[in-house]
Amino acid sequence: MIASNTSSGTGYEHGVVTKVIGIGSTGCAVVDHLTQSDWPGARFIAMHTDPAALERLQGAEECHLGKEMPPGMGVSGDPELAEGISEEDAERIREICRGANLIVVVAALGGGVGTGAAPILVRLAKEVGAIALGIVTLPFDCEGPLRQKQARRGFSQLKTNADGVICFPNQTILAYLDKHSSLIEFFNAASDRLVEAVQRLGRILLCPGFMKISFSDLCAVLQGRQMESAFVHLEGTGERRLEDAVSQLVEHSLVKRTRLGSPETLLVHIEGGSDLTMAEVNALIEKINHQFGEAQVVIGTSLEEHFEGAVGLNVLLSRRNFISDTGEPKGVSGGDESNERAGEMSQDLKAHYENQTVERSTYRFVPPPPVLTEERREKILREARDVPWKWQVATKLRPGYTPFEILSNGRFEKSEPTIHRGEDLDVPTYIRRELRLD
Amino acid sequence: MFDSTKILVGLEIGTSKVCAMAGEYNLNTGELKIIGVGQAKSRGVRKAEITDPTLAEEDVRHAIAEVEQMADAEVRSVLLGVSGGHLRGFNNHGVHPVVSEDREIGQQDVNDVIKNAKAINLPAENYVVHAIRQHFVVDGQNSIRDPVGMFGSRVEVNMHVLHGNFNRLQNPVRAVKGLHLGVDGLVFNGLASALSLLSNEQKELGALVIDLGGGVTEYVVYSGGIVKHTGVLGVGGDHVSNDLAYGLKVPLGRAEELKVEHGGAMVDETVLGKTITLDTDSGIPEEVNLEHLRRIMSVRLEEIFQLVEEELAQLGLLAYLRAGVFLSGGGARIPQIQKLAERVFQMPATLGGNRSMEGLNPVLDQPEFGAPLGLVKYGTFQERNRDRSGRLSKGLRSAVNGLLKRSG
Repeated sequence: MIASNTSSGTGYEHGVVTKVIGIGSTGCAVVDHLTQSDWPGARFIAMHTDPAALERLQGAEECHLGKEMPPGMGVSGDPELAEGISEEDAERIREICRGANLIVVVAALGGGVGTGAAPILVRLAKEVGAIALGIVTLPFDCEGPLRQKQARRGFSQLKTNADGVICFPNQTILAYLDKHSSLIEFFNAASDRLVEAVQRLGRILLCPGFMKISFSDLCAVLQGRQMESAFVHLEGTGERRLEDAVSQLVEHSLVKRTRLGSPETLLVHIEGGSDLTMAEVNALIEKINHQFGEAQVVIGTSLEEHFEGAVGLNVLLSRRNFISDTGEPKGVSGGDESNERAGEMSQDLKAHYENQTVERSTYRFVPPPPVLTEERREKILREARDVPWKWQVATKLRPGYTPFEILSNGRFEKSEPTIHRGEDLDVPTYIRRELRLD
Repeated sequence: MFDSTKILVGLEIGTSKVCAMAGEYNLNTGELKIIGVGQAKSRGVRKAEITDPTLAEEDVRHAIAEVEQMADAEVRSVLLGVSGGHLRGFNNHGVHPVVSEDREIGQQDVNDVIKNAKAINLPAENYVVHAIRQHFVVDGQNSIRDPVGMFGSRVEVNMHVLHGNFNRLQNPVRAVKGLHLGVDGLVFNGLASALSLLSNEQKELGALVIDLGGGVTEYVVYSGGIVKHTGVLGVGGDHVSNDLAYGLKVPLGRAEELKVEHGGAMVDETVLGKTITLDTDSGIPEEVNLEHLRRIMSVRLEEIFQLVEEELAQLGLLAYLRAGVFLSGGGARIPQIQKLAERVFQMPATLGGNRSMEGLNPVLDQPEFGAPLGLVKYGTFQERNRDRSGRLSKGLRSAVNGLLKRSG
C-alpha cells in the first residue's frame, strides 16, 4: 500500500516535532501503514473509540477514547456522540498533542468517530500551541446522503478549527479506477491516497530545500470553504525529465477527467538532484502557467542527491471556490503576514459571512449640503430681493437638488429580507454556495 | 327551498397572480361545484405580502370581476388566503380536569380544554390564524379523536397554532374590504393547498405538502389525519428569477421568460455546454449558457427543499411521511422538480392535482390552483360548522322562548 519510492538518504528537518494522529477506523489504518515509512521525529498515534480496532494495529501508538463506555459499544456512526466522547477525554487528547509543532489529523469523514472527533482534536491541538492540519476524505456518493451530510458538516467544522485541511472527495477516484473494479480496490485506493498524501506532505514541508515551501504557503493554497484537492506524484528521467513530468501531469486522468482539471491553486514541489538547472525550472513554470492559466501557483524545490539525473514532481491541485470580495489575491507568497492570516483565516471567513448576510448595503448617494458662506448668503438674499415678484415665487419653489432614482437592489428591495439562521436567502444560492460558473 | 346553495369564493393574493375561485355549495346535500375562476397578474405583492396596496387592490378587483362574470353571480364575501414569512406554527398543549361526579367527559369539558390550549402567551401584535385541534389525551391515553362520553379524570389536547403579525395580516384584509367585500375567514394558503391536494387516506398515512409559490414556499405536514406542522419559507419563484437575472446578467423580465421556457430543476447531461441564442432590443443576438441557467435554478430549488427537509428532520417528522411529498403551486410546473424533491427527501414525490374534490373540471386541476381550490373547500367546512352551530343556537333560542312563554 505504501509508495515505495520514498527512499531515504536525505534527512528531514530536525527540530520539528510532528505527530500524525489517525482518527476513526480509516484514520487508524492509515496511520498504522505510515509507521512503516521513514519519517524521523514523527510519532504516529491511532485514536478510536473501539478497542477492538485499536488491537488490530501493529505499529502505531494507541489511544482509546471513551474508556467509560460499555465495552463493545461503538458510536454507531453518530458524530455527535463521538464529539461528546472526545470532549470528555479532552485532557488526555491535550496531553497527547502537547510538545508537537505540527499535528496532522488523518480521518475519513462521513462516519461517526472521524467526523465527530476530528474537529475537536484539531481544536485541542491548537489550544496547546501546535499547528493543526487535517487530511480527510469525503465519502463516495454511493454511501448515501446521510453520510454525505455528516461529512459536509464535519468538514466545515474542521475547516473552522484547523489551520489547513486537505480534502479528497472519494468520488474522484472514479476518474482513474475502472468502474468494474472491486469494492475493496476502491476503498483501498481511498486510504492509499491518504497514506500517500501524508508522506508527500511530510516531504514537502519538512525536507530541507532551496525555495522551500513553508506551512503558510500550503495554507494559502488550501483556503476556501468548499475546498477539494488531489495529490499527483510524477517522475521524469533523462534529458527532458521535467518536460516529461509535466506532460505526464497534463495527461493524468485526474486532471483530464475531473473538475480538478481546472484547479484554482497549484502547489508544485520539485525534487531534484544538484544538476537541476534554472532553465529547466523556468521551462516548467512556463509550461504549468500555460496549462493552468488562471490558477495560482506556488512552487518549491528541494535538492536531494539520489535524484541525480531524475526529477520528482509532487503536485497538489485544489479548487477552493472562494470568491474574494476585496479582489485581493489571497496569500500568493509565504512570509509572516500570510502565516498570520492562515491562522486567523477561519475566523475571518466566519466574520465575513456573518457580516455579509446581516447587513444590506444601500446604494443611495446623499451629496453633502453646499457650504453657505456669509458672502454667498448676502448675495443670494440680494438677488432674491432684486428679482420681480413673479420670479421670486419661482425661485422659492425650486427644489434644492433633483431627486433621482438609483438602480434598484434586485426584486426584493422593498420587502423584508429573508434571514434563515444568519443567511440572507435573498442572495442567490449559487453565490452563497460559491458555485463557480465557468 | 330556494336558499339552499351558497356561493363560496376563495381569494388568494399571491406574488405572481391574484386568483379568485368560486364554488357553489349545496347546504342540503353538501355538494360543492366549482363554477368560476378569475385571475389577474399581481403587481403589488412581494413575498406574499402586499407592498403596494393600490396596485394590489386593483388586481383583486380584476380577479373578482372576472370570477363574477364567469360564475354569473355576485361576490359578497371571500375566504382570504394569507401567507408570508412572518407566519409561524407551533404545537401547544391544554389540560383540563374533569369535574363531573361520574367522571364522564362532556362537551363542556372538551370546549374548556380547547380553550385552555388556545390560551397562548404571544406578543400583543400577534394574531392566531389557525388553532387546529390535534389529538386528545385522556388520563395519559393517547390519540383519541373525540373524548365525549369517555370516562376519565383529566383530559388534555394538543393544538397546532399558526400565528402571524397582526398588522401584516391586516394588509390583505384591508385590500378586500376596500372593495366592499366581506371576509369570511383567514386561511393559511399552505393549509388550503393541503386541503385540496390530499385525500383523507394520505392525511392518515402522513404527507408533506409543499406549495412552491411565487414569493414564498409554504409547507404543511399531515400525519395520522392531523396537522403536525406548518411553516413558511420566504423564498419562491421570484428568487429563482432573481438568481437567473444576477447569474446570467439579463434583465429580470428576460430571466423570468428564460425560467419558464428553458428552466428545469436538474442539471442533466443534455444541457451540458449548451447555449441559447436570444434576440435583444439592440438587434445583436445574445448568448445565454443553458448549463449555467439550470445550475443556478437547481441549487436554489435544492436549497428550498433542503431547508424544509432540515426543519422536518429536526422535528423528527420525516419518518412519518409515508405517503410522500406533494408539490403544488406554480413551482410544481418546473420540469423534473419531482425528481429533485425525491432526491432531497428520499421519498416518493407527487405533483399537485386535486384529490379531495369530485367532479372538478380538468382545466382547473392545475398545481397553481391548489390554494384557491382549498380555500373554497375550507369554506365548506366552515359552512357546515356554522350550519350545525346555527341549528344549535336556534334550538337554544326556542327553548329560551318556550321558558319565557311558560313563565309568562
